Amino acid sequence: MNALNRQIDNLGLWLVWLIIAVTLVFLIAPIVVSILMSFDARSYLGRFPPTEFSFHWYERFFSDTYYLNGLKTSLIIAVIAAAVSTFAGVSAAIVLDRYDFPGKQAIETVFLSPLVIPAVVVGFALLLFFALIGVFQGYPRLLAGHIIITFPYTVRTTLAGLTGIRRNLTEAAMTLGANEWQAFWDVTFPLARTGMIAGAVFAFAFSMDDVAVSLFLTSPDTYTLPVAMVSMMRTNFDLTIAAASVILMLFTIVLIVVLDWIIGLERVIGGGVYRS
Amino acid sequence: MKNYRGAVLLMVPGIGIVLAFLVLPLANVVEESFRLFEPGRIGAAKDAPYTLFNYAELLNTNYLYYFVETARIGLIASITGLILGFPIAYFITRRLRAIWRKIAIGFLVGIMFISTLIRVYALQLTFGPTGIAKILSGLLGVSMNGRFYTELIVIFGLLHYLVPIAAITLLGTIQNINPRLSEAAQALGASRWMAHLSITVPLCIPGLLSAFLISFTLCLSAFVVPMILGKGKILFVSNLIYARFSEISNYPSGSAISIIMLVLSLAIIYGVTYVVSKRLVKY
Amino acid sequence: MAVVELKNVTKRFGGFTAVEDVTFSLGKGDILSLLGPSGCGKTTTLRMIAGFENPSEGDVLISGESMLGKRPYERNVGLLFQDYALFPHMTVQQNIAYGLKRRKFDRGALDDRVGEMLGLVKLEGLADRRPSQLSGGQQQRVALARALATSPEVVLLDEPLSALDAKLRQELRIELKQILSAVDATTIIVTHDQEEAMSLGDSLIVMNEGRIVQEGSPTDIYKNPTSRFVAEFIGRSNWFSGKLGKDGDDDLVEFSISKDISFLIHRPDHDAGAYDVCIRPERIRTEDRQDLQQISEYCNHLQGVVRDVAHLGADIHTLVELANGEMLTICQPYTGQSLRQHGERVGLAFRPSDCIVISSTT
Repeated sequence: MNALNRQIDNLGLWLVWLIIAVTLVFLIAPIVVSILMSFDARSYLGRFPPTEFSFHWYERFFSDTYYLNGLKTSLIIAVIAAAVSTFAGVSAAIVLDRYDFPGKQAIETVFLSPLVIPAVVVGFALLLFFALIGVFQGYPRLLAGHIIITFPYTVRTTLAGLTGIRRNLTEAAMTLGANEWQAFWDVTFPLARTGMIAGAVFAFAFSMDDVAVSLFLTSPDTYTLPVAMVSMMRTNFDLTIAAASVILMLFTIVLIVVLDWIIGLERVIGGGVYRS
Repeated sequence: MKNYRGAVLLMVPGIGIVLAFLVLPLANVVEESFRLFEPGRIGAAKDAPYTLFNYAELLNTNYLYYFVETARIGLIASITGLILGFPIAYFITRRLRAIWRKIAIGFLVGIMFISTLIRVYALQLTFGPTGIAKILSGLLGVSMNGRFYTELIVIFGLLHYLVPIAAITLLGTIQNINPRLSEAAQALGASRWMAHLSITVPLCIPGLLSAFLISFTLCLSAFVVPMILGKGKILFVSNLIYARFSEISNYPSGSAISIIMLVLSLAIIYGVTYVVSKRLVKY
Repeated sequence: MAVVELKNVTKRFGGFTAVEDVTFSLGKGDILSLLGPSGCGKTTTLRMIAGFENPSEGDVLISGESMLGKRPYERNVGLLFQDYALFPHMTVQQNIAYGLKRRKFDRGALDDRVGEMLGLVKLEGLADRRPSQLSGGQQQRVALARALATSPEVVLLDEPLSALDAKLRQELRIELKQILSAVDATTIIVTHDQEEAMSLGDSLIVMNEGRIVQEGSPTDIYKNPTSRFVAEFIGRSNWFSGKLGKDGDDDLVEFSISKDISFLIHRPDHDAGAYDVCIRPERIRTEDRQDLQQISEYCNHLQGVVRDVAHLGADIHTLVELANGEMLTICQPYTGQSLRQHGERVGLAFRPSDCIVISSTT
């Protein structure tokens, strides 16, 4: 019996190692493949691996006004949406943290609900709504969509930052002569700042990444980079998209470094995608 | 703290955003979903009569099929994601030293943060005709243009996102389990795998449930993965909504599907959250 | 004139009365300890003086001026929080300067005052540290310096030493007292720790269930507790319940705790049916049987058997069982004597004046 158990133990251990190894390869290999392919010197979409390397797909990306337009729109939308969401989210989180009123829980749930509503539904609903009120330009529609999907992230990270601050720090400031506003600006705000910045960074990242909502809300001359990439993926067979992917990946890496620097990765995970 | 007028003022932007960009649009979707659609139009006419047809239509097996397929593929992907994610999470929390743990977590977060599009495109390059499609489909004995292989690639697309998420969700759970418990079981005569099955895994059930819940809801609302990797052969419910809009402009039908999808997602999320929180009390 | 005065202060939260009809006053430089178990209303009282709560009834006066409706920042009160509440994102210097800045000190006066406070709490050289880089004791001193910097009319200390370990607590207690008297601060200390309350306070108020149950000097309250609650809360005690017997000499009266065991106590001045008697452990002497008769003052004698002996360094605690089965603790200073043995028979002697008589109904 013991010998059998021992064999099962060893077998199980090997199995676990195998699973981990295969999974890691599965996670990494595609990324490596697309990076290598983006440097492929061939002028057509050939089989992996590339035989020679060059930067010509990157040159194509940076000379293609279709992509550049998308990149410009994406950046403009992401910056404005992140700013608006952060402003609204921080304000709302302050109230949710410091005041008690009937229906507070319900309001918080509604504020965070865009996290759990399928993005396609949000995009579709906004499309219908803007058609109803007669707005057909790309910018206002895209902005609205990006603000509503990034807003809950800013509310949540700010709330997480605020609840970590003990109430008696504010009280200490008040016994030392600060009124409510001064206590907020001198004590609460500096301590909650990392949470607010993290919220803004998240908002920017998710805005840059969105496909599902944007696809419904673009107009022929106003489209985001991911939307441009999707339409190229379906119609074109070249590796400019690989070059675009690598550029976006660089964005991601910078973002992770920034987040780690601001709040530490462990807390990014604590924030997670869902509140558990 | 007694300044209630200031508080109301601070809530105005948030409430305004949610009302204008979420609540009113969703209310409009509900209204639209009961309108009669005439083929050839864009959306329903302003004075179109009310009808239950858009919902009744979904009971047709053709449409039901999309829901069933979405749930089936989502279920396979979520469970596979848990099976692959659990050993990784366990390994990171129990076997790695602090510095490597940080690197491993950074890696997982990095993979999770990669744009869905990049992920999908990378998988297409790797498992598509330019990559190992021929070899892999040959090994499996299926056609690389067939439905089975396409479905496999869609599941790969979901897994590439789900494995890091499941692993990260489970990290916290495993961290909270006292490693002495498993050692105690071994000291009492259990072999290592017995100790795992009888101690570690049961204690992880709340975490496993919530990781499953997160994975499954992400699958249900997946959009880009089936759209690109499914190549039109695999369509999820979200793709159906998009098709209603982009191909035949049947907004009332798209609305009805949206409402059903919304209700299903919320029911699963809040239902399972409730179950998980109930279970958690036990420990 | 009283610096702080509470007049019939009552505080209710919904249907719960946290503080009921509390009245006391403090003169300039007085140090008062508010002592009681958790939930006795002492912290609520403190928060009403600081301005975080408003009394439901009654009035709080500081320097003769009513504080009703005044916000914390409109009073000149210094508060030392139990967990210090140091601002983690500010240096020691910035923490101490915070109250001065809010009171619009100019740059030079502010720097002078901060330097003075750092000197007072002996933390020169640590001005640029963050709170997280300080030890617990150092954090406490920074918090004290911050509370004292604005020369508050009243200083409130909330469990000032409870977050420190036992050894540090003793050191800081002495230092705290020196600092408070150096700045002649009118001080109220809130604590559940009787040692802290008795050693720091000139006067003591014991609270229970929202009310003041006794006030006086620490010695007075220790010697003459008026209720079983106070006697038990302050110091250790041996309790006997029994009946009054026949009168003895002077105002003495016999108190019998069982059929065969009785001793003499002073006749209580109030007439209650049943009484409890409390004897402090350090007031009982153990004597070898032959010595017992020689000390006339110690006219109460009991017999018992040693059940446990614990040597706690400076003190020896001996547990003695009486003939009726009651247990008695005796506390003696260790002066090199040999310890009692398990099962050894001992005679106990104590004075009638050390018997604290409390009517059983209180």
